[in-house]
Amino acid sequence: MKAAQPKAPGEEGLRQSMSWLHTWAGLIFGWVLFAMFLTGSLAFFRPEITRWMQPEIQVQPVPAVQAVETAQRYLAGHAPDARRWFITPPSDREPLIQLLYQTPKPKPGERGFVRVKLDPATGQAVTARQTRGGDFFYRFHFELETAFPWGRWLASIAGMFMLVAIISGIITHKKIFADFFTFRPKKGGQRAWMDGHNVLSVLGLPFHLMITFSGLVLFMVMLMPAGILAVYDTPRDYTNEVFKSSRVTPPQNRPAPLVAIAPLVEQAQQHWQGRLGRVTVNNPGDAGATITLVRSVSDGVSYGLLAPYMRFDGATGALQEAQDERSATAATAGVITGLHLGLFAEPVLRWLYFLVSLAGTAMVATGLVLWIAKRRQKARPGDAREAFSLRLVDGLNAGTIAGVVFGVAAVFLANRLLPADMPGRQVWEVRAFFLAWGGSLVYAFLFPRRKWRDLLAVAAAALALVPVVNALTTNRHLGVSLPQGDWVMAGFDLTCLASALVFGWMARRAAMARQAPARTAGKPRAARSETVKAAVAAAAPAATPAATPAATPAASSTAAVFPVPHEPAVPAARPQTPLEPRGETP
Amino acid sequence: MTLAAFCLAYAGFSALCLGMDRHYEDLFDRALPRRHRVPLRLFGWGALALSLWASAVVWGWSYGTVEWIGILSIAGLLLIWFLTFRPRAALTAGGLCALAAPVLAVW
Amino acid sequence: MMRYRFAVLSRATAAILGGYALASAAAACLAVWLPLGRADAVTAAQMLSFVVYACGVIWVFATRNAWRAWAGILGPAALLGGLFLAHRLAAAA
Repeated sequence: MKAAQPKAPGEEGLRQSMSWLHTWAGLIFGWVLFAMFLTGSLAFFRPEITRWMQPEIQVQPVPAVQAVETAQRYLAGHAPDARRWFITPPSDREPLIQLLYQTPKPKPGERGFVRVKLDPATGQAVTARQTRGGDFFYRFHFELETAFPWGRWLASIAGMFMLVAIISGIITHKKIFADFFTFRPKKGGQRAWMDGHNVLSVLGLPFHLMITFSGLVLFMVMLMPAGILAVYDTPRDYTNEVFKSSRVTPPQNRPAPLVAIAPLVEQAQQHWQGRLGRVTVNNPGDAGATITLVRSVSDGVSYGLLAPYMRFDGATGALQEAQDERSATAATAGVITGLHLGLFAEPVLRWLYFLVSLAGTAMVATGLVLWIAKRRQKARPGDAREAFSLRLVDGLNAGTIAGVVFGVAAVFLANRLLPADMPGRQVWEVRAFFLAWGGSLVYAFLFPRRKWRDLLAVAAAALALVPVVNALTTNRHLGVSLPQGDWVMAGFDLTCLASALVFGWMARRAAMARQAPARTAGKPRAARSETVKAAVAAAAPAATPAATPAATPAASSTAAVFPVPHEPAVPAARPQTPLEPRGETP
Repeated sequence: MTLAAFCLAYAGFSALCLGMDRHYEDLFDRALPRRHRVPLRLFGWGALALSLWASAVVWGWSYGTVEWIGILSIAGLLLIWFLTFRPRAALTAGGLCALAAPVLAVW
Repeated sequence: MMRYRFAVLSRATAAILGGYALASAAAACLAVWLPLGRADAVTAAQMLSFVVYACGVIWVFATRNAWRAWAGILGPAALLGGLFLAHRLAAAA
């Protein structure tokens, strides 16, 4: 397709050019976007994943006032010289007290921030296996585990390509209403994949648009400095004005004892008629100390980055400044970013977020597979070898779609199998992700004819092993968690099992397609539906974590469209349905 | 009530689906009668709107709208999936959902 | 084939780099011209600039040829940039 050819005025030209744009915008960063969507989906269950990955921690939350009292006692004893204290009280999803403090003189080679998790009941620091937990997936989805700021820029560029892909996709999908309910897997080949891709895209369109646009907005200070520098001298001046609650107040360099924070928390919660989210103490022990209380982000859609706050004088406890209401513009930005973060969601909505996000992941995957399906259908029969581009893209598809899923399972397996006291184990957990993904890519190119079947099977097996390994290495496996109603652990294990079933099914379809290349009865299904059924059947309420799912039905579809390469005896690309007439909705 | 909202969404989509020539013909092997088209579509849109209202009643309008959009996506995807493989069952389920919704709402 | 590739490259450059310039110009212009508080104007301008960017990219690939693509990007960018500078000068005066 040539975008550069002279366009006949009228819709036909526009749709074709948008189709070209959609294909390329989607393809270039498709594999990165798949990984981002999958890890982003997992990020909605970030704390639950972390809890599963530190099974030795079993604590109960306590009310915020009590937690803050405990925290202050600990920090006064362990970090009296710190420049800043951060206290996050327990919540339903994260029952620990989380502390962060900035040491004035970090040891050489160490970072200046120390993180501690306290048991709310005892006030003691909890010891558990070192792990990045759900944070790894959360950070990966916007930083790609790549040095600051390059990872974020790459992710943002991919996000911009995604936005263009969505818009061009909408323009080019002429029969968006007529085809709303249309899914014809029996037709096989390109038509089936196209229907699947369309359904996943259209039904999830509000989410996909929102998540992509809001993702860019979250990074807009970095991405679009022009707007800020037009008015302010530096971006920090702007962020200080917008994010007043996180402004760093200067010390006065005279000592003065810090007031008790707990009564201030009571005062704030009373004023807000809401919950405390975070406490920030600047320069504790100094006369110029300030205590900033920020309201819980779960209390409002727009609170994600811009929650109400109250700032108190650290020496006297007097209220210095407070902000409850935001301007319309700030509230709008708050809602947009808050929708992306989804921190305000209760369990049902959180699961909806997760499932629709997986649909988005499957949308990306079906798009990538569709690219192959279209070109294989057009390929001339009798070609000795497929075009290089086809082999390359198909290899990347299999290596990524199955490989990233395998990578996620590998992280969980490593978490259970590596010794709990092994130094640097969290680094190896992350390495497991990349080793699994990289290994899958290598395998895909070494064994092109078996790649889909084998890699999907490996992903399925790895997922299925997670609850098994959990049972072998801990006492918080399904046999215990289900009767106890421990939905974090049980939900996680069940979701892994459900995902394993989905991938096992896909692997089987891929195997069947390989064995009977002339059959056309294959019924590729939108992976999305599989994942939905599986995930819905899997677990349900409360704070359930998510393990993996997502991804697509592999190229298990009609063998007629996926002729096994290098086998000239099989009539290559002999679609049982007529090729789509030109001008048909691409 | 969330369940009621979900049932209403599913029922609404089922009605809208039946109100389309293509799907009606697939199911009943005859053309969609003109007198059925408008009522089906009215019911469909109405059920979707009621679904939003049901969600908002419990959660408030801002949270409820977000949840409704999620419910629509999942209900729609489920319907399409069932429709492809068990069309009659899928649409019968739609009818059942329509009946179940008011029950779930007050329960 | 080379002509085709050159045209694609031209449009891609117009879309990616030209589009970013257009979006930046829009952000700067809106940030100073919007009748809102300082921080709010910047916030609104930033968010809108992504919409402008996306529209610019669509324009580049929807339009008839690469010349029109560039014109549709550089023209508005110059205009918006000019409006921004005008505001700057007026404010300084």
